[in-house]
Amino acid sequence: MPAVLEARGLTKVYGSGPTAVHALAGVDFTLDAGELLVLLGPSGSGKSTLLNLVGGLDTATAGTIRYRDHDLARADDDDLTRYRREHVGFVFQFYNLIPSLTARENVALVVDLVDDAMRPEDALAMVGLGDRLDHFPSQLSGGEQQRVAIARAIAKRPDLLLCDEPTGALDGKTGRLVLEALATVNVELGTATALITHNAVIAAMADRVVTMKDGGIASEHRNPHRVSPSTLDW
Amino acid sequence: MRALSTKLRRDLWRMRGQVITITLILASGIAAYVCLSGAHRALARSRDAYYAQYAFPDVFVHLERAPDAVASRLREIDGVTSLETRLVEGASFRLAGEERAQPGRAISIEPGSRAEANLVLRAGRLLDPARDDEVLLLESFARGANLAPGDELDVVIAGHELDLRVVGLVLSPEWVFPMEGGMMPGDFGVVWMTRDALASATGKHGAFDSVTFRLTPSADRREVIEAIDRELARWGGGGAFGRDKQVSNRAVSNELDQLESMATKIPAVFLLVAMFLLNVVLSRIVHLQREQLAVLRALGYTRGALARHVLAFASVITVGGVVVGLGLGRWFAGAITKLYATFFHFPVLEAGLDATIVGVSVLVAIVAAIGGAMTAAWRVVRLAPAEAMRAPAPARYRRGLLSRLGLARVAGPMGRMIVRDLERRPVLTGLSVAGIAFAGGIVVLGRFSVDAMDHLMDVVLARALREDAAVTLARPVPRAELAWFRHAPGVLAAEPVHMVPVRLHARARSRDVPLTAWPRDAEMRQVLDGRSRPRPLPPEGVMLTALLGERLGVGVGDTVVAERLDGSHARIPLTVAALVDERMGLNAYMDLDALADALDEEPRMSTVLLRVDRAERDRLHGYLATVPGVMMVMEPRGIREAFDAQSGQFMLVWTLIVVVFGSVIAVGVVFNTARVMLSERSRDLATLRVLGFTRDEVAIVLLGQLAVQVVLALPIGMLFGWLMAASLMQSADPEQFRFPVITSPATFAFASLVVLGSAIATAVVVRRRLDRTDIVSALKARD
Ligand SMILES: Nc1ncnc2c1ncn2[C@@H]1O[C@H](COP(=O)(O)OP(=O)(O)OP(=O)(O)O)[C@@H](O)[C@H]1O
Ligand SMILES: [Mg+2]
Repeated sequence: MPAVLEARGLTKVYGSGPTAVHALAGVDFTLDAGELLVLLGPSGSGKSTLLNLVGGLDTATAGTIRYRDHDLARADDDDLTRYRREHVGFVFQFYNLIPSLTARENVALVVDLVDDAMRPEDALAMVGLGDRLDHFPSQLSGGEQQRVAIARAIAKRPDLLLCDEPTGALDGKTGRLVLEALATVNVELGTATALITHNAVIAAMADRVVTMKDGGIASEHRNPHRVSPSTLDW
Repeated sequence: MRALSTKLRRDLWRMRGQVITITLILASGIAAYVCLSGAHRALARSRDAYYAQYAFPDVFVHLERAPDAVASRLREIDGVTSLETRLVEGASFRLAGEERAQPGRAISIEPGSRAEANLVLRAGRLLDPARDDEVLLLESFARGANLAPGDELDVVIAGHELDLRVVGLVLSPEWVFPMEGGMMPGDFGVVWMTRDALASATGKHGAFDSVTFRLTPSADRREVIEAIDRELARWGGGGAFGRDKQVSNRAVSNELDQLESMATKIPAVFLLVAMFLLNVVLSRIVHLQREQLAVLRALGYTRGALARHVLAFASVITVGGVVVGLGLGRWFAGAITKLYATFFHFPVLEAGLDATIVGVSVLVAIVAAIGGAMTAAWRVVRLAPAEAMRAPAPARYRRGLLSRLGLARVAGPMGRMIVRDLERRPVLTGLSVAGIAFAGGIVVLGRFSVDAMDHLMDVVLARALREDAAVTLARPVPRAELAWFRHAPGVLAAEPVHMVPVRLHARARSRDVPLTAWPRDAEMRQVLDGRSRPRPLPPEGVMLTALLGERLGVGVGDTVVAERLDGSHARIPLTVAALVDERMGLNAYMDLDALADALDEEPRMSTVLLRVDRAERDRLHGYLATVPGVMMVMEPRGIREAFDAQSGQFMLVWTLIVVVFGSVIAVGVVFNTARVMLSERSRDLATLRVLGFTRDEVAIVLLGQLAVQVVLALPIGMLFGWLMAASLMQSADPEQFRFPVITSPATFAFASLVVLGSAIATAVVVRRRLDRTDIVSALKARD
């Protein structure tokens, strides 16, 4: 399968001098079209840093990132904003919904930004929240809020869906619902999805699993077949 | 504890923009209060010290003429400690190169006497008893006329032209502000010369026509005055009077009263508003930290430790604000006091901070700052830590009124966020709006006295005083003398006015007022009611200002008894024929003939109003200067000019102070409102950026909220300003000086500009900060 996104020699250094932190030290990384990739690794190994660079939230110290024919390493802030707006969806551990907007309105927020977007109702239906359209975040459970966040991320039909510990704050049952939603989106929309987790069990639902250590990639393997999230247990 | 103090240092540094602006709000409130009330107190103290040090008399009397022997009888009056008899004559000063003579007085003085010792010698020497052509000249006049010791002086006294020599320049507490009615002190000349020299000019050898008295502290002034009037009745006594009616002292007191009404209450409002804002802003900042405080509690810090932590934060600001405020205030107070003192020519200057004023401002600052921070901190610390930490999870939103009206739908997602955020916390929004409104209101309040004075001058001068010149006579003359004035050069028309000082009695109450009379058909004088419409004089009886009627407890148809205070103490019953809602003070008016009937004498006049041919103006003034009975000539046009020249400078300083401090407060409030909003919303705003919104779009959410608050605050602020002005005037003593509550559109525009200007400046700063926040750390940050 062709790579949607390809990073070479990606380096990120925080600070300078003796206190400098090499969060990423020359990482090569690809994400293929339509695949579901799980990123594992100990805390501080650079997972979030990698995902933020790939998603255009931050810029690298060195290295290249190519998204299709765009060079993200050379992009300025406006280019990165346009890149995020048109191609990337994010899901974070702490949902980050806008508390003053309802579920439907939180999703509609991105629908206004792009041309070929889903209807907010459809996006919410896809994550199993078709009946909670007009609730404010404070009226939803954590899992439900996370699924609204997923609906908001996928409503613009992004090419990339980047999730940083989306189930980190959720219990097993609720987490499975969220993962199911992600898997559904991955299959139905063919969105290339990268998912950071500390939970090795989750790796079973991926096409490919990358493990990071000390700012580099320690190992990588491909699952012969994907397991449905509903059968995962932790 | 070390960790907490590190946090304190970091917090102060991280929030330095806010810390500085809040400190400035506090400092501005204190500085405005300290400098304006301080200036008033310093001036009042300087005046008192001056009066005490140079023995300003307690009672004064002018009479026709009495032989020197009468003095010993006056000295025997109970309560009199000492007295000085003297001659006081009208004088007009011919200055080189000036067509017009300047009005003034010549006063006799015994070389080596206590009266001479009570003059403040500023330059030159005292009189040589052997010379009769030497004079001491009032310094304030000498400066304006460019005269110095050694110069020749040409003075007309009682029709005699005298060539005199100035030997010394002096000041006297009796002649601080020699003229009433807005004339500049420098325009009025006073010379002191030996008794013999003055007696030769006036023919009053072995006699006196003026006396000043010092009384024992326990003396009953009223009884002493009546005793003096009894003694002098046969010598043409014009009625003794106390300091309250002495021309110079009354003018000085009026100026100080005026300053007081502007300079004590308005700054007090300033201080209170600043403190309110300080309270609001500090408590919001502490509220932002609720999560951190809760975590610290969870870690095991005691409530006391956290309370001390917040207290320390507030204390840094309070101490900084108080120190800066007192420093600035002291500096400004010094400058203002000096400005006024030069104007009044006070030789004694009691500057320095007043302990009460400092005490009040420090106390209020502590209550407001510490109170604001501590109540907010207490609300957090009181909760169980878990409860406090849970709070920032999605705040509860509902569809509020604005949303239900469909506004949110029209506005799009950004508009919806703006509207809902404002709605969700009506109290906070209300406080911010009120804060910004107060900042605008303060500027309105500060400028209001300027507006009011302007209006007053316009109304009084344009409609009430319609003459070209008012000639005050040394003593009342029969009305028939008017013909003489009509024939003076350049006079087109002349009208009589008679003013009799009286004490009006009604049952047990009484008030001292001027009873002013003119012919009912006169054109040059008018009584104006509250809406500046002319009210005709009643044909019979007296017309009182409504306030005077109220104070005396009388209405139309009642009788009041007028006790004459111009010497005779005769009691004349008068019927109250009308009440007029005149804007200022306590006044009584009558028709001239009706007054003559009531007094049972020929119609007399004490002032002549003239309409003058412009081309002949200078010739008329030159002519009047030589007429013995003329005491002074005043032109309303001159009043306006003098007012502008004299008040212009003060108003400028005043406006500057108010505007600078008002603007600092406005900027501080707007900036802090925006900064707190920015902190509260940073995660939401970062999320929007993640979703792909541009910086401009994100800025709209934040700045839109600010804009809505500012727009709401503007009209409210104008209203606040007006209400504060109105309530200030309500609290002012109506018998004293009182402004009409007038605010000009220019003031509203100006105040709005100050607020908008600070809002825009703040928006630029906030926008820059917004642009600098990086998304990743904003998402991570949980405060
Ligand atoms: N803004 C920053 N300044 C300095 N160092 C940083 C910053 N952000 C991250 N780091 C460092 O970079 C390294 C990688 O951080 P990153 O957040 O990518 O780790 P992670 O793998 O996502 O860890 P976790 O699983 O705990 O989320 C860490 O050592 C971290 O301390
Ligand atoms: Mg991470």
